[in-house]
Amino acid sequence: MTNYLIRRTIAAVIVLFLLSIVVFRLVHWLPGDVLIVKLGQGGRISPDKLAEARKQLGIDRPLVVQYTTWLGHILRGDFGHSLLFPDRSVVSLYGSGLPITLELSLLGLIIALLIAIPVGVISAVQQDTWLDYVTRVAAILGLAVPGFWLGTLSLLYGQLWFHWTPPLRYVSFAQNPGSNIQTFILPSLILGFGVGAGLTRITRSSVLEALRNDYVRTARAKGLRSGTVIIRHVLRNSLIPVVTVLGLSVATLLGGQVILEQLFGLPGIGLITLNGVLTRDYTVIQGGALMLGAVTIFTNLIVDCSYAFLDPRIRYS
Amino acid sequence: MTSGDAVLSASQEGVAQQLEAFRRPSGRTRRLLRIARQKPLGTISFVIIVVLVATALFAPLIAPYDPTLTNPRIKLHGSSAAHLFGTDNLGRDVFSQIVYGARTSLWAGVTATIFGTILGSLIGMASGYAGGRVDMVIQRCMDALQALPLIVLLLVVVVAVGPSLWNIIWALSIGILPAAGRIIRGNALSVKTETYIEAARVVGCRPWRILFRHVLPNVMAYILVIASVTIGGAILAEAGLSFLGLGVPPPTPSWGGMLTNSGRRFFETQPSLALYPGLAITITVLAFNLLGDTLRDVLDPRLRGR
Repeated sequence: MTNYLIRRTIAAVIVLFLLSIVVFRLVHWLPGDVLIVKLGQGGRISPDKLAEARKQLGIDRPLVVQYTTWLGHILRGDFGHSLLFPDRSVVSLYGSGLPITLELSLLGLIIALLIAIPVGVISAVQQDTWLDYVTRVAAILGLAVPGFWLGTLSLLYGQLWFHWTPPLRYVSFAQNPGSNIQTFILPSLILGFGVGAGLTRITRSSVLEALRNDYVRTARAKGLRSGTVIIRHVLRNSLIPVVTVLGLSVATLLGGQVILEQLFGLPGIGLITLNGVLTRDYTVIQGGALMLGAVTIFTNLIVDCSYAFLDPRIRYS
Repeated sequence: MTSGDAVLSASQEGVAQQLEAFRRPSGRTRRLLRIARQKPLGTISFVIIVVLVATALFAPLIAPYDPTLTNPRIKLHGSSAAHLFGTDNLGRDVFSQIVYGARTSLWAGVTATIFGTILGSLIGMASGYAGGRVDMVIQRCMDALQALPLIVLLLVVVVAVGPSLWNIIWALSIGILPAAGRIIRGNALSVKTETYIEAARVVGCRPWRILFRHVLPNVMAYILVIASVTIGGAILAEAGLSFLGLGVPPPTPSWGGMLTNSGRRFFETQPSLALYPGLAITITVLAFNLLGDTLRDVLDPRLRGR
């Protein structure tokens, strides 16, 4: 098994390296550079001053050189400073956004699990009844509804019917729990429904698979009540795919909340990346993309390795 | 009975039989109809999709007005006989915008999915069949591509090459590539061990011929299922990008674009403005998802039965 783990880890490192190249190339594809954005269209700066400023920032050197310099810094843990805000390091920028995105993702996940597991199990146990159909349609609906639409509608009707809007500025939970909850409740619910819809489907199908097994028949034949059978035997086995999917979606959750963050004005990781892209802030985009990618690769690695623990067949493939 | 009668009745029977064959639908049609009856959700979604495609294709005939035609005098009106869904803040007819928006969404979604799925499937098929070092290298590259959060990829590509419909399609295809490739590769791996592949190799078939003639047909069912669900995701992605303002540039109508944040104060005056585009997106994505589900249900037992 250690052989498998080592091979998997080496593969992960290679992918990380490839990712850094992809990210770097992609980001430097952006036309215009941060100086143009910084100085705005209005400023008439002489070309030599521009060139001088570029030299200072180091964005005039050939790409390969820039890449190797960047890589060297990364390996030492230095992701550089934002080109737009030279006093903020990339790490600190994303660091300030992390708790927000984390809170949103966590709340959303909890809501998703609270919905998905009970509903998925019930739906599977009552297969092909009206309850099952309603659940399946609701789940597919949940996957089809755009999050930003739900968000827009909830803000709109919140304003129209209840004269309520969530607080505009983010405050941490420690500072003001009430305001914090109000800020997060809508986006977390929306996120939770969306993720929950997908999780419900997976739970349902994996519970169905587990129910087909012989040990369920044995347990029932022994005289165990249905409820006990489900909780004691079926649930444990059917939760494995659910956990896998959860693990794999961690990175998507962290990096992919751009839309919700933009809609609800939450200065999280997604919004920071969006602003970085819009302002051509190379270091921010590179750092962010690489960090998010690294998280994805790392979580995939953990999920794969845990699979090796759980399923001996995989170790010998 | 005289022999003449026998001949007559025999030929009558023959004619009757031929007439019967005309009236009774052929085996394949009958099977399709049976599937349609058994899977009502799938049939409904298929019908919805046909309606959508027709709307997109015949938009100029269906839409009563030019969606980009502004008329500030009638801005923010509700539903009326003249404007089925009302007008937006610039006086443009919402119904026409929805109709033309179908074009944008379907075009972006379908084309991006086709490109991404075909390219991804080809790569996945070749990678899975080749195996060994080649497979490993290709897979690592796909992993790297997939590790990047989709939004970031889309943002960078769209901002880099400019927000136009085609650029969005390319960006989406790149995002779809790795996922399709991975699934098809898995399929190709399992098909590779089949005896008929070995037989083909023994006979002297070239690898590419094996791929297209033997591997592809078996993998096709999965490709179709993936494709139809991916279309839904691609449409959502295009809508999301347009919502952020990075999608198709105005004045091209786009469902996501009709929902942008900047229009929020107009929604308060006329809430229906926010309802219709979102409904359109939801129904479309729902239809494609249901179709994908039904396809999977229909094709799966047939695959297993082989």
